[in-house]
Amino acid sequence: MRRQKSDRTLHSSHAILKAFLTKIADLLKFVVGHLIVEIFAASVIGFGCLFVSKGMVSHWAWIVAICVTLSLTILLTYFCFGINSLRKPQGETKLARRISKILAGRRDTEWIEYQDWLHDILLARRQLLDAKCPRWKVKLITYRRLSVFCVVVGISKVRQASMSIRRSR
Amino acid sequence: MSKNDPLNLTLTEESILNAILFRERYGLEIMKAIAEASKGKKTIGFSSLYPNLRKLEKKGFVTSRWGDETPEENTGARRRYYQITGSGMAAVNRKQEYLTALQRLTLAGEL
Repeated sequence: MRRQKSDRTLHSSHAILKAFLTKIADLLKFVVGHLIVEIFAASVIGFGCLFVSKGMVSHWAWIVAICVTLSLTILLTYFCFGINSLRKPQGETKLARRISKILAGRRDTEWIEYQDWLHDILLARRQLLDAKCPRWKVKLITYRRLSVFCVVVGISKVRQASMSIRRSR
Repeated sequence: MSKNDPLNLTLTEESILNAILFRERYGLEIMKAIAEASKGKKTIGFSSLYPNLRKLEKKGFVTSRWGDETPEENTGARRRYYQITGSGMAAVNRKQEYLTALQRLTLAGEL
């Protein structure tokens, strides 16, 4: 009884903490959103004033200020999100991850038998990229290798299934 | 003639056994060793190497162990090292003896 009570208390405290964190995250999003707009406006005004003080014609100064701020924003966005997207698995790596999840999730013997194959496909991909091989070529080679891997593992699975059916008869 | 007879070894199986004769290697290393030894003239693909390694393992010619390296970051797949067994070595030697005997026989025939 006591244990059940403590479990319930733990669950409710977890729920409260989760709700609290969600509220804070929402608030942060709101603040960051407003801050970005304000920083953008401030930098346009700042650059505009700077260009005017340097003797630029007023309407040209504002146009250049907007252009500079926009390009800085694009660069910053690319720098922040571009790096993050590079870290995320893409294309062939994503496919390899999916294959591994399917195989490992079912605790198949194929995963134990062939995971080193998958490991070496990805290692070869890394080595090709390090050797400055064109990205499209590496992509193509890796996709081909992964497809062959899937076919061989699939055939082995079908063979196993047919053998077990034969045995059961 | 049984399947396990060393004389029934294919060229790919023989190449794999010879690549791991003196030191253990992982799959990609075996492929590179074969390509390097043949100066790029003989290459084996992934689809040929791994099924052949399984076959050799089933025959008892090869044994394997998991590497201590950290698993691959995206898939969690691990590296596996292959090593030749005593019967694998015996098979390679027997095949070699057979080929030598065959060459000597041809020479004797010519004489």
